[in-house]
Amino acid sequence: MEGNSKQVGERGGVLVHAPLFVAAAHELKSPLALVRQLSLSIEAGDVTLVEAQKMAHQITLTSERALRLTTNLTRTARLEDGLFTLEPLNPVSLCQEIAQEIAPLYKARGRRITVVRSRPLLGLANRDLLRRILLSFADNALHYGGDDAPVVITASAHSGGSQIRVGVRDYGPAVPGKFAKTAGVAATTVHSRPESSGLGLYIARQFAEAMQATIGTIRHKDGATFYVDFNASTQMRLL
Amino acid sequence: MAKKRVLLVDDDQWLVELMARALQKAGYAVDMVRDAVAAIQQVDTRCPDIIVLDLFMPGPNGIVLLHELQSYVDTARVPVVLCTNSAGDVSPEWLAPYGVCRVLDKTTMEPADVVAAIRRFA
Repeated sequence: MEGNSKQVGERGGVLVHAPLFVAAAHELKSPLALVRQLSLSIEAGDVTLVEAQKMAHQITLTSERALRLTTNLTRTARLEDGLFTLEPLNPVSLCQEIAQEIAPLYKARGRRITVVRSRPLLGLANRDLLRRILLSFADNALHYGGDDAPVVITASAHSGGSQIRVGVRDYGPAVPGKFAKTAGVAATTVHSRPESSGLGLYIARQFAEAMQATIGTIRHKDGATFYVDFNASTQMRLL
Repeated sequence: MAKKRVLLVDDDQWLVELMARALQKAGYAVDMVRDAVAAIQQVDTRCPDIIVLDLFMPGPNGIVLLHELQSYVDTARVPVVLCTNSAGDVSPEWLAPYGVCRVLDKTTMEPADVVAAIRRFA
């Protein structure tokens, strides 16, 4: 991880400087506090079997989400250690795998995640890193999106077909204008939303850079799209 | 006698469900919203007897809601229990003028603490 400190938030116009580990601790507090409350409630014994099973399932899903974050954090610390092989991959297929993987968490929260089908695409990326970026975006969208609207993953070609963009669109509160620069321009200072520590975006940028990709944010009136751009495979012209 | 009404304002759906369950068992009527904007709408519709408020939520944060509540005579009197992961970063003395009567730390509280706090102030 670079440096000892980064800007992790802006509240009331005052920039808050804090070490990265403080941001990580902040992000992990919420799931750990929830797991503790759920566990205490089960321990208290005044829940039905059905309620206890539901709470146990919530503990599992919350723990898995927290573990994804910690795994990603340790991964960012080792990005320099290895080369990340770029391989031709079908982004739509990967999006569908991710939607399937995270669907239980969405379902448990009464939410939906869908993938918009597009024409055949072939990108050049590191499958593991791209998967981690998109899972991070999907985790984020679940938290910040509105109650009823689904989260939508889209994949499309742009820049004359030389680039692939995969975006995760949520329908929650908009990203304030002052934060609406692209994350790639100033990723250490621009955050998804002001109440966020920005850690997820920081991690996503590290992963993107390791595979020559970029990430960015598009602000909408009713939410935001977080996207990753990477090169299209030259084999795409054969499709 | 009508039940006392508690408004829970928190984006952590599962934690809110836990608190609501405990409060309902203790005899309270509970409304739940996940952000400050929805909270203001809910307060306009049916003013609660007490509010349990998280600090950091999508959209305007809890401080913004506290400011809004203090702007009107009828809502300024509604006691607020702040329930946050960042309890160590806020000063109860600083928050008292905003109607905050108690600060609960989500990382250390027991499930019964919310009910106990509500009983004391509503």
